[in-house]
Amino acid sequence: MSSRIAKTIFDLFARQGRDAQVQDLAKQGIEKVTLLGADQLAVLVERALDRALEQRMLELTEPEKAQLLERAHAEFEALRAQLQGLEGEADAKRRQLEELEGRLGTLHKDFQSANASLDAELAAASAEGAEFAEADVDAATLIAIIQNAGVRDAAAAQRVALAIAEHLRAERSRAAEAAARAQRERIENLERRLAKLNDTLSRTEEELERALQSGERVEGVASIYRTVQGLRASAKEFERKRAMLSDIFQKNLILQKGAATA
Amino acid sequence: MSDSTSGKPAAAGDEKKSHGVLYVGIDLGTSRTSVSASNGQRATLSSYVGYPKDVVARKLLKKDVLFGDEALENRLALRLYRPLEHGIIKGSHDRGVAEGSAEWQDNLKAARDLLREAITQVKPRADELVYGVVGAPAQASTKNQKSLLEVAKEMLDSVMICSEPFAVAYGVDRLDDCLVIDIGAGTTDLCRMHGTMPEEGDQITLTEAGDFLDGEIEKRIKAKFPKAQFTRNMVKSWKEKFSNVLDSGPQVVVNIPIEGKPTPCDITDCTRDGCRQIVRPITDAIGRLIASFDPEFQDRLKQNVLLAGGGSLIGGLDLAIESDMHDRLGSGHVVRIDDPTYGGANGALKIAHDMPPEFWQKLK
Repeated sequence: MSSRIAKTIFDLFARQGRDAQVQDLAKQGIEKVTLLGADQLAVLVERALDRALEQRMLELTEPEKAQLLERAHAEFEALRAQLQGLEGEADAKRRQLEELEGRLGTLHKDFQSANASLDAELAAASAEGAEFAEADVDAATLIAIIQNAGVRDAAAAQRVALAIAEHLRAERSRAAEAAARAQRERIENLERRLAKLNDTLSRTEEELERALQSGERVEGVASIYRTVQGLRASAKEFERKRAMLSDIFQKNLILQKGAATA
Repeated sequence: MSDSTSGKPAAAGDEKKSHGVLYVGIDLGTSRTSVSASNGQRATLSSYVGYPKDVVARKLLKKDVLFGDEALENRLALRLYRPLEHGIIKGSHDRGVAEGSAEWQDNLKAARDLLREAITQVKPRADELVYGVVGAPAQASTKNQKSLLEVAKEMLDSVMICSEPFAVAYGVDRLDDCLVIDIGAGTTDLCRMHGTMPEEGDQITLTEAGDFLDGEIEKRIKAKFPKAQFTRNMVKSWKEKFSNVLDSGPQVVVNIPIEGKPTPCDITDCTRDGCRQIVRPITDAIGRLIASFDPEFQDRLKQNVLLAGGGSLIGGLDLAIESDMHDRLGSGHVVRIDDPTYGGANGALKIAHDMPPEFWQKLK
């Protein structure tokens, strides 16, 4: 028998035992008493219970014993199945965790590579812009080219040179604008990709954290009920309570499923 | 089959199932959220939900969402929500936050997260069905109740809403000739019990409640110590620790920064007078409920006033209401229930337990 039962017996004696003064006992003519401590009493009761239980086991018929054995066996099998289920669940969780960790690693690498690619693109874009800025139209060279081509009138050569220079400037400006637009688009795309990658990274981190937490999660405390209960027919004020509960239900039914269902 | 609490045989018709059923009673309050469950667990937490403001805050706090006192302590790094107002989700009524707005959506999400956390704290098993009853303010409109349901449905397999003060009365088995006063942070709900389901006329909801008292105390402290620097949260915590409405209540001295220096300030009269501001509106409401009751039973009602909710923990409030009832209504007897913080949740749990199986089935 467990020491818990012994303790209960001990507590029972301690609570229910009554005190007697020596003087009062003397008045009753009692000069000598035999003492039996609560702990000794607990042990005696324990032994008596053990004997009774042993006796009961002896009294069991063979079919009863077989039934008891069968029930114990069934319970054992159920527990074993439950344990296997839990082990399977734990394995699945571990696999999920490993998969998530792998995904997180890949994402980290993608993120770093996208970051590096963005840096390189930005550097290239800056270099191209600088090239455009450096290129300028030299008017004197143009005039010289036109005069060499046979145009002797200096004023006419200058006008043509200015027109060509203006045209070239406009063309360059358009080209620069188009290049800048293309660069901006590329940068925006890269930024969007980075943001998406960042988002995926955050989500994966959250998933990983959740998986880790659920790995540590306690199983929870089972309810004391295995079935839906309901008000007992023997409950105090059964009819009145039942009517009230019915009223709450009707209101909720209308609230949740609409008036037509009530 | 036997009920594990009573050992008596279950009612006929109980069908054995392979799964367990966890009942939960929920008091989703403006200030505190309390849950009692049929696995013997119960939990209460401040109704605060905080989300890290940015990536840095998230890395620092190592959490995506914080709740209760932890959220309050780290509020500088968080987008802090107190998703309920006057006992219902902010934005599900006609004033304040507009329904459908981003703020409303945020409050709805915060309320969901809060309820999920509260339910998690009572440790439900993943393989059990969870059936819950949620307490709502006595006069919550259909729209308000629907918002509460929307929040609760995600976490519960089947859910019902019921009047919070009725849940308190049901929980303590006082269904006849009694008047329940449930003092929360957002509302004070009064409910007249007369053996049948209370109707609209049996219930009164007042906005004079815990938050209102915080404001009253704050006004008085500001008037007495104009240079004192304090927040509404500090006032709330002083109220919760020291409030007492009796003249014989203990002296309340707290350290409040004045020009940066913590200075002892005697706020005894501020907390006492501030908290007393709730007595008159409650007695007025009691008077209205009694005056409209059958004259033959009015006295019985006056002698059975039950005080519940976090606000009922204000020292001497039962005596102050009783005394005011004597002065204005001729007599009265007010009793504070044993476990005010969980009064609503325990009652809701009892309703959930007693609800017939077929009712739960229909609401699944």
